[in-house]
Amino acid sequence: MSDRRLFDAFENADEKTIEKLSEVPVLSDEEKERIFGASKRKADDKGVSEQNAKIIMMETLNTQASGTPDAAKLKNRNRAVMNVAAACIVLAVGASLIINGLGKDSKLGIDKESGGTASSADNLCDSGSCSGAGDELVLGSDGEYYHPYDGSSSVRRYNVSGTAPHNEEYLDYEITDEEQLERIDAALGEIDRIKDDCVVGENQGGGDDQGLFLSTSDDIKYFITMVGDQPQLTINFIDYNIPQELIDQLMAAIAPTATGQYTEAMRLTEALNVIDRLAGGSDAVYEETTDPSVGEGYALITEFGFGSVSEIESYMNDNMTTDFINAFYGSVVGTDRPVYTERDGAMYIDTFARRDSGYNWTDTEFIISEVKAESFCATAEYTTADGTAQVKLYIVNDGGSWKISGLDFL
Amino acid sequence: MTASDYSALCKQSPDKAYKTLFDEYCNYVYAVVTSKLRSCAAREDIEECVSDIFAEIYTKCEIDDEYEGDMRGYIGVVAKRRAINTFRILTKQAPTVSLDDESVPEIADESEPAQDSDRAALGAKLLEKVMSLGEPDSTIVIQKYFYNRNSLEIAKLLGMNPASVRVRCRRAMSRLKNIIDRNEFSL
Repeated sequence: MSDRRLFDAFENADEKTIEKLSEVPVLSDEEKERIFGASKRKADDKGVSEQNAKIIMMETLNTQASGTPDAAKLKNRNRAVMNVAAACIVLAVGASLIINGLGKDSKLGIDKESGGTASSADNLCDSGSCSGAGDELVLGSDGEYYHPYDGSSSVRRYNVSGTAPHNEEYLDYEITDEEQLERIDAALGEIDRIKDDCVVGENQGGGDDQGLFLSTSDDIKYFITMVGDQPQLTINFIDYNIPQELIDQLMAAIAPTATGQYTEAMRLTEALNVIDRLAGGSDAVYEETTDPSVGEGYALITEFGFGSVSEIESYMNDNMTTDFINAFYGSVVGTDRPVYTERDGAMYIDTFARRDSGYNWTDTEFIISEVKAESFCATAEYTTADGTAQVKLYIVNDGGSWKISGLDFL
Repeated sequence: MTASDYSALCKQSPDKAYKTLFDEYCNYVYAVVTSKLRSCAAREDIEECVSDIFAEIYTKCEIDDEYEGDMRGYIGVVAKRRAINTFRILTKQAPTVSLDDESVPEIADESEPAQDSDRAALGAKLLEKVMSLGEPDSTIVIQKYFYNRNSLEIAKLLGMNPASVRVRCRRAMSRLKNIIDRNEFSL
């Protein structure tokens, strides 16, 4: 079941549930104003209609009572109705002209003469080059023009938005594999083929979604943002009308195991945190007095998330390659003086091994990179005493399981 | 707001009464309409339906101004009825049949009270689990998956970075699914 379908359970929600849902802030002040304005106009219109209905009813009653219509009143009323009708026609024509004019001018684009400020983009769209690969379509935040698929680096970044309009999943990819890039271009070409028209616009949003966009019949939006000096392409699926087959094709071309890799990266970063904390003895509660009979500095563990040394070993082997464990975390259980040892079914910790440990991951999104069939990298950010730092994990497929095989502190 | 409050406000200034009523109940009406239409309507349709509901309440509301109870009940009924009508229009699920048609007796009533009741109970359970995620995760999850807001909109409303919203949302959903799995109830 998709994440969104899960929430279908609210379809026939009871009163209490609806009340709680309504407590979640969702409408902006602008949206509230818009809805209120519309409701007020409708109410006013209804009021006028009802008033008119009452007048007509009165006239009918007068006619029936006297046998002749109240000619003067009817004449005035008809004139009033005709005036209203004429005013409506004028308004409609005016509105049509305004809408057409606005429609033309509201296509924000690139005015080459004014040095890249927003202006009419008709010259861009009418040229027939409004494809995702159109040269003129991308204006970098530095005022220079960029080709969306032609960054100066050989690394192209595809920030891919998910498979359903209300279930967006952003994946930030650096793709270097030429074959994969060819498949992406082929899929993007397919999108270009089905679109009818396009609009170049400016995304007013903030944060990492800010930038120029190219939308195609409101079906697909290519967001082009600048990451440093690199143009970054985001593809948004925002409409139900996109053939699922095409979405599948594109997703398959861009990231065959994208979701899996992201999920694995999340699992492994968490595992790295757990194992690093294990190495530093951060999570074990132990007796204050040590037991020299077990070894100098070893104390009996009284509370711990792991029940035995073999459990720790198994957890590490599930998440890290043997070479990596030996290089970085060999001391946890596998040396002459391990951090954890066992005697008579009880676990002991080397109190001398205690140190600050663990990774306090920030909410910054991972960057998945160097994607290959049997390996990929995930860069994650963590908090340090001085601020934040990044670590790049090398992840490999080891006998069918993704495991950490190395790391670099960036 | 009680009917007598509303009535008293109306006497002072109808516009002020409308605005007060709207401010107090717009989130509630929006939630009611979203719950009924989220599977079939665009956001514009939902907004349209909400504005229709308030227009109806402003103009047709024959309220007993002696009634001291909260108007929420009345507004809820109007909102649900209007939302269901909109749902029918949008999904075009109202076939017209002749009473002379032989198949009429075989047309089943599609509403299943027992199932609806189960679903309502599930909704309450799900909300409880979502709330257990804590803030701001529960708000993010509801805004995203119930109200269909995107990360940028949620970020603006909560004063957060869109990237943080996406990460928190993904992690919150993962936790929610674990909670649901642990509790072994199916949705």
